[in-house]
Amino acid sequence: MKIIIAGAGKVGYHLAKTLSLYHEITIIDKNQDAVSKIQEDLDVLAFFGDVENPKVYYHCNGKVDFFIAVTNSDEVNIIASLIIDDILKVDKKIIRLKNSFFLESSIFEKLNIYASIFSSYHIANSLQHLLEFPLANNIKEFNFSNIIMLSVRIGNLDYVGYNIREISKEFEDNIAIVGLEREKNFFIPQFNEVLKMDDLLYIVGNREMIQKRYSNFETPPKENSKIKNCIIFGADRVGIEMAKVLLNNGFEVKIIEQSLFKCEQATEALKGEAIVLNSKYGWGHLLKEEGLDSADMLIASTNNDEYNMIKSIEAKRVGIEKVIAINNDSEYYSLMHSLGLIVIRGEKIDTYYSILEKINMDSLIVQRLYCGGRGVALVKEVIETSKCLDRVITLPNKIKELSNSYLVREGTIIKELEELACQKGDRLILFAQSEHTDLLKKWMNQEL
Amino acid sequence: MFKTLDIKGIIKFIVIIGTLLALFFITPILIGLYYGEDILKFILYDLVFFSFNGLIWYGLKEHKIEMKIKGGIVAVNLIWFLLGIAGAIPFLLYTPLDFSSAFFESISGFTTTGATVFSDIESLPKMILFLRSLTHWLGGMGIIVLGVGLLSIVNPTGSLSMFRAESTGISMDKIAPKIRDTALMLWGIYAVLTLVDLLLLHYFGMGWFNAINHAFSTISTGGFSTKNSSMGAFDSGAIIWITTLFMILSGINFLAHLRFLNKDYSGYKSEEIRYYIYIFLILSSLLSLSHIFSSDMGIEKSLRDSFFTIASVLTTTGFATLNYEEWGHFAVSIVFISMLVGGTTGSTAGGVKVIRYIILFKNMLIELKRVLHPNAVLSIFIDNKKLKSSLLTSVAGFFTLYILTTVIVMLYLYARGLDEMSAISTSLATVGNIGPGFGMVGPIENYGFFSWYDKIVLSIAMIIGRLECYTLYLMLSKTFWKKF
Repeated sequence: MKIIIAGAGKVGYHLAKTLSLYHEITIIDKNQDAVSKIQEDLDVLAFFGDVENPKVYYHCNGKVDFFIAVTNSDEVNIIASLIIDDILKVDKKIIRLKNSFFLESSIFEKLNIYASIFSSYHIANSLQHLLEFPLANNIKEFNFSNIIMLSVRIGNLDYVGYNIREISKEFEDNIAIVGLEREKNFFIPQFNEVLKMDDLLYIVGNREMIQKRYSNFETPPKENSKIKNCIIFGADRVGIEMAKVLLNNGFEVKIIEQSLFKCEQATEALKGEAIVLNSKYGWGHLLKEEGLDSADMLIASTNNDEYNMIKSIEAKRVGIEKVIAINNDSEYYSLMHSLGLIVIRGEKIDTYYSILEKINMDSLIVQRLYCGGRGVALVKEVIETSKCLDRVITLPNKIKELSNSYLVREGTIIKELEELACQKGDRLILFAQSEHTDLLKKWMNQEL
Repeated sequence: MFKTLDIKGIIKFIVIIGTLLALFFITPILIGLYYGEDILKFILYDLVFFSFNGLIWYGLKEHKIEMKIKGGIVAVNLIWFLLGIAGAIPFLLYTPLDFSSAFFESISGFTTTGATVFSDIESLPKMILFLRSLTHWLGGMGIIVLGVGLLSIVNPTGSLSMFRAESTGISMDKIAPKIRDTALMLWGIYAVLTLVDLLLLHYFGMGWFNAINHAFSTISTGGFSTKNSSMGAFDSGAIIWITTLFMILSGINFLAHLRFLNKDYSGYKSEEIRYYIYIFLILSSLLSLSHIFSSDMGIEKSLRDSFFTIASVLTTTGFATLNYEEWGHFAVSIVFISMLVGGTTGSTAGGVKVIRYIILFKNMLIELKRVLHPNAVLSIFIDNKKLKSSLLTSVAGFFTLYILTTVIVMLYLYARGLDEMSAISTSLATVGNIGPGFGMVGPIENYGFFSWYDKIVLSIAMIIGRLECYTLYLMLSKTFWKKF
């Protein structure tokens, strides 16, 4: 596919790097250094130029499959995706937006935008889910039904020493276990895999089902009820969006921010409902004065991962139970996990993954990445023309070996898909390590 | 260190190029067949060569090339030496040359130097003559570039350096997102230029065989001829002028030609190409004047010979029509200057390249300005774009290495007993991939008289020049072999 990326920042660079393996990428930015860096590193065409200037697109001729606007400014992204229509025929446009008020506008129809990525909104959403499932590390929704995926740390569940089959029984066999992260490695566990203390388990199942069985997890029941007071480090957009979510859920929120200017912005955005503290002169004295040491939850939401990690460790020392860190640099993802933190993707990583998912969905297969992009879930619907309609899907050994496959029918997960004829509207869902994506997709496209 | 290198990947890369070369070796066999020559040995050799490379390739077909910068450098250097050996064997089979001479001839072909050890070229079998031209043609645009284009053997990240190692000049531009497509387009325009040159040469009276050989030699800026007296053997003004034109075109960035096909003339307007043309015109005019005054040939003939000579030396082709040494000291100094210049970035020409002089010259002007305005913030602009400071240091580093190489080779040759002019010009002619020089290696002489070790030294000098110094010297640096 021909893809043009406007903006060669962190998101643009990583998108270009990943996508250039399979697609023809042209990337444009007005930062000369960023452009030359990309020229040196990647097999893509990098141009120096203003993405709002129609002239820069003269170089790219022919039809373009995707136009991705990922500069740092919403306005520039919008203008670029408007301007490009003058010069080129673009099939699909993906735009990254930061301000969530665009959600309620009609610009998407006006600009003919295929997908818009609101990462701060996503992040706030993930927090909302975390509040619903306090023991989970991360929750993902699949928009076709009420199936969710969540990751839990085994140590929190008192399931150390159990094997996968036993865990599955705990859930009355209504869930699927689709991944295990152990010491930086991600894999799809076998039934007899015995779980260890620091393992992170990925579970997929019906939302209500998991919620119902979820009470089992709370041994002793301590988490949700007790969390009342929350500290947020950093009053950037993500911090503010998260504060909004917490306030809506009836939490007490205090925000700590170094920059006075951002403090003022945050107070304004939250209409004074949360207390915003300025920590220009350190936060040690605030601990006592503001009673921060009695907080139940801390979210480190700055743009700086090192700072987030340090604050999270500090918070654990002070005795705050639940610590969430925002991960902005994927290289720190594993380290954060291994520190026992709950990790939420930062704006840039979220944008990167969301766009990758959008591009890799070849009209029929929906792709979702999890566990820092190491796991992949592939979903395809059974339609009238599917080869497997009204008959049983036979999984080749290779596919069985590489993935866990399930059928989703009316919101329930069917594990014995080899004993059941497919119906229209069923969905085949495969979980695997992301390096096998191509192979699995090829098979799915043949079969369905 | 060796653990960090992807040895299998390097081997695979080399055998892929080897297989490609074996396929190209079929063409001289066909020529031999056409002329009824004894092709059996060549066929056997090519079969062995092909199956050797092909089998290793087959054995490694599951291996994914994961080369990093160091692996790429090792692979490129190895390939260039192995190319020399692979190309030398037919000479050993069909001519009385010893190995060093055959290696020299082969390297001289692949590096598009065009220095020959043969004194009587016309007595060689036609297929050997064609093989010499073929080595030029493959080496000119770069066989690795071709491999990248045909087989996309570059792994997607980290090994663009391999491509760059073989292409000339200070920067590698692309016109298509995929390096593979750019490589194919470059080879496409290269083939088109060759074809046009071939047809024109034939139209103006050259036989097909000579036309093919000279077209290969011209577009790759090589310099091997099928005649003892080089282009002097063709007494047609048109042929000389056409060759002059095509040599100059081949000294221009091939991306500019490619853009031209898309009706984008901007490529030709770059500063480097403008200066290259100015230098060509000025030096040619000066040489013409000297030629007109020193000999009693007609004006057209003087102009023709002078423009041809400068084009030939400036683009590092190395064809000759007449012995320019007879035109007097002024003429020799003019030719000497053009030996120092070279072509432009991204062309098939060797030498220092015009852009490096422009950068150094502009830097000098800026330094002068800085004395007058000590507080000014000054930058170098090339084509109205600010030059990255890292490029300036890279150019300075290149000059140091280039001068160092030339001086070492020159001193070596002087110590070996050559006279001053011969030593200087041999050194420049080999490192700059030009071919003929002055004195003992003048346009009507050859390199046959050197001893075997001299030939090896000169062969290495040619490879250093073709890979623009850095690639080979990097392997000599201590840091290269450090694991950390």
